[in-house]
Amino acid sequence: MKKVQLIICILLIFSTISAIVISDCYSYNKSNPLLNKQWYLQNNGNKDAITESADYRDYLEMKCGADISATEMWKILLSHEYNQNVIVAVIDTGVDYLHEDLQDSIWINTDEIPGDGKDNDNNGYIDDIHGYNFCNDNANVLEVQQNAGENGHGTMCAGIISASDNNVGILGIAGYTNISIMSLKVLDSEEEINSGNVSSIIKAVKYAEANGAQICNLSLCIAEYDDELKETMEESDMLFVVPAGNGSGRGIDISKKHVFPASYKLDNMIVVANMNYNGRLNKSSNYGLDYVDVAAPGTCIISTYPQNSYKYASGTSMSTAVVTGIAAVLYGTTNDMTAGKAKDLICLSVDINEDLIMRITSGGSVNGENALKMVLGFKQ
Amino acid sequence: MKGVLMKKIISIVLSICMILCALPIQAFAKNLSIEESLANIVGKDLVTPRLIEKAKNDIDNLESVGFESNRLNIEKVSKSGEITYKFRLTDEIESRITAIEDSQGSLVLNIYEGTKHNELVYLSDGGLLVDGNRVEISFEVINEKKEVAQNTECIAFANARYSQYSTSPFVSSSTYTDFIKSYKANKNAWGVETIVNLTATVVAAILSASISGISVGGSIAISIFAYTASAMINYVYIYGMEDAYWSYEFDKYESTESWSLERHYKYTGACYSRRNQDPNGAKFPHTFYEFNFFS
Repeated sequence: MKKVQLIICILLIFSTISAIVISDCYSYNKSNPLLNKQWYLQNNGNKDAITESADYRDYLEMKCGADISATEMWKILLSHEYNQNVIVAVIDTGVDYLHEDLQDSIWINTDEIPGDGKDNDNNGYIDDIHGYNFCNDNANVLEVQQNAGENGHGTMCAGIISASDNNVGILGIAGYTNISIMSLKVLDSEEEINSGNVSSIIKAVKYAEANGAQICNLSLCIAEYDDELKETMEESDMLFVVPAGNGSGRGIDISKKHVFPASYKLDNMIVVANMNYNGRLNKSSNYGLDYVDVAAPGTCIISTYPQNSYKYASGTSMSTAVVTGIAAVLYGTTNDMTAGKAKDLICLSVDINEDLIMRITSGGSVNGENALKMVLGFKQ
Repeated sequence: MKGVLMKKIISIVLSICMILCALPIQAFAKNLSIEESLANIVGKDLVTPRLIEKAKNDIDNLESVGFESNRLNIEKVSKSGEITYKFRLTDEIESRITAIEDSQGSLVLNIYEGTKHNELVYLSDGGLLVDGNRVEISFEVINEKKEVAQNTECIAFANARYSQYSTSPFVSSSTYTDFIKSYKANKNAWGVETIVNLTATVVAAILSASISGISVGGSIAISIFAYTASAMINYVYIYGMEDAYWSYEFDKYESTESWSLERHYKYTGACYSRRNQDPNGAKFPHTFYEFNFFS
């Protein structure tokens, strides 16, 4: 009898230890204290990561593995020698470039002398050290959350893409890449949502290209078709990552009702839908078999917020930043990456998902590890 | 002596193992309520993962169009696996709902309230069908605040914020003084010959779907429109339909306590029994509040 008890006991201890060891297989680099809340990097099924978010729904399960395989991607990346500098333009509400988690990855225009009131590099813009503010036609792109139009959106996108591995806050997807965030402010409204002019967005895209950006994160939607914006994007060599857009409650099929720039159908543009933490398309996310390329985590996403703080947000804007982060990693590994190649790599390396297969061109959600393996495979 | 000690050790180890084994289960404790609800109805043996997944997906779908999950309960499960939900619109009004998401992405709801039955379809193009008739959902913005109107060339919607809605103010009611803009919808279809045949839940859902477009935080909770919907049905029951269309107008105000992180809005206006806000028809005044924030 005692032997039986002992055997049961040993089995229980073994199973318990196994469970702990297995769960630890998904453990993160603990130096970034909020990393365990970044479920989208490596989803271990623990809801504690998101219960503080307003978009958390207790009836939805947290699906282990519904993520971008960031940990595995970084493992491969860190064993890779090449680390090309990548400039990512965040065309948005500005960026808090003084944020503790972003200050190391902010683009600096070394050809410009700050604050001298001159256009030292003759690029048409005065004192554009970190980017340019196309709303107010000045070089102030610092998002400080004191002005009504600055609601943290740009700072959150920047954090998802590039937050540093620096023992504070979160870790950006391209946090191990030699990345520079160029802040181009085009949204600055006193109203409840960010608004801006298409002409500002066009100027920002042209500025980004002229000043060396390879990727544009355009986490915004435009109410109407604009031919000039489409042409500007189409003629650019940059990769554009744009959102499928959020429905007014329930997402819509943008094949039936267009939203822009998502419906431009460009070879150098990736359109992104919002995958929920349960591995399914978020009900608020737009979709469209003919227009939306991939899904990416975009619900309950924690990221940097102005003045050294961190917040959760949800929406296709966040999903867009996730894909931009992966694209930046890919660009960083090689000097011959093109927009078309990056798009193909990201779309071909998705995790096929039964919920997405009828709604999204690639039929799945992005997987950084697979995409990176494909890049390195191409090189070999 | 050794035996007693061994028993104690085994007892302690087993206790620890039991506690450790229980930990991961507790993380899903809240989800068990759906499983338990289903188990109470069909019996534990018949609660399949597929059935649980359907229930969760149904609730997610219903919440996406304004049916608050905290007002929903699972009521019954058919032999084919169709789940009927009880939706508490008000303390007095309850409806029964079944939900199907078709392959085109449309959400088909069958709503029962007393002897009434309506089919509500949320189309994948953003449209809405009531018993097969398309509801005209549109609105225009008028009297926009001057500095906002300068940016009419383009609107970029970030939409990475979250909204809560209530018929009660989230901050002091006297602070909602900053006029933002007015909205008008001059021609929204009833969808049927008379709304007397519609359930209050469906009328509230039509109002929610129509008016949600004026806010930035997703669907407005259907219960916000419960009393307006009931009043409209009762009015038509007594006086009959006055027009083939209804209309609405809302003025939007912002609270002086708003700041970039937390925005407070008030929508105050009315629904009208005739198109173009015709004052000769009936007017159903309505006020609700929005709290828009980053979480």
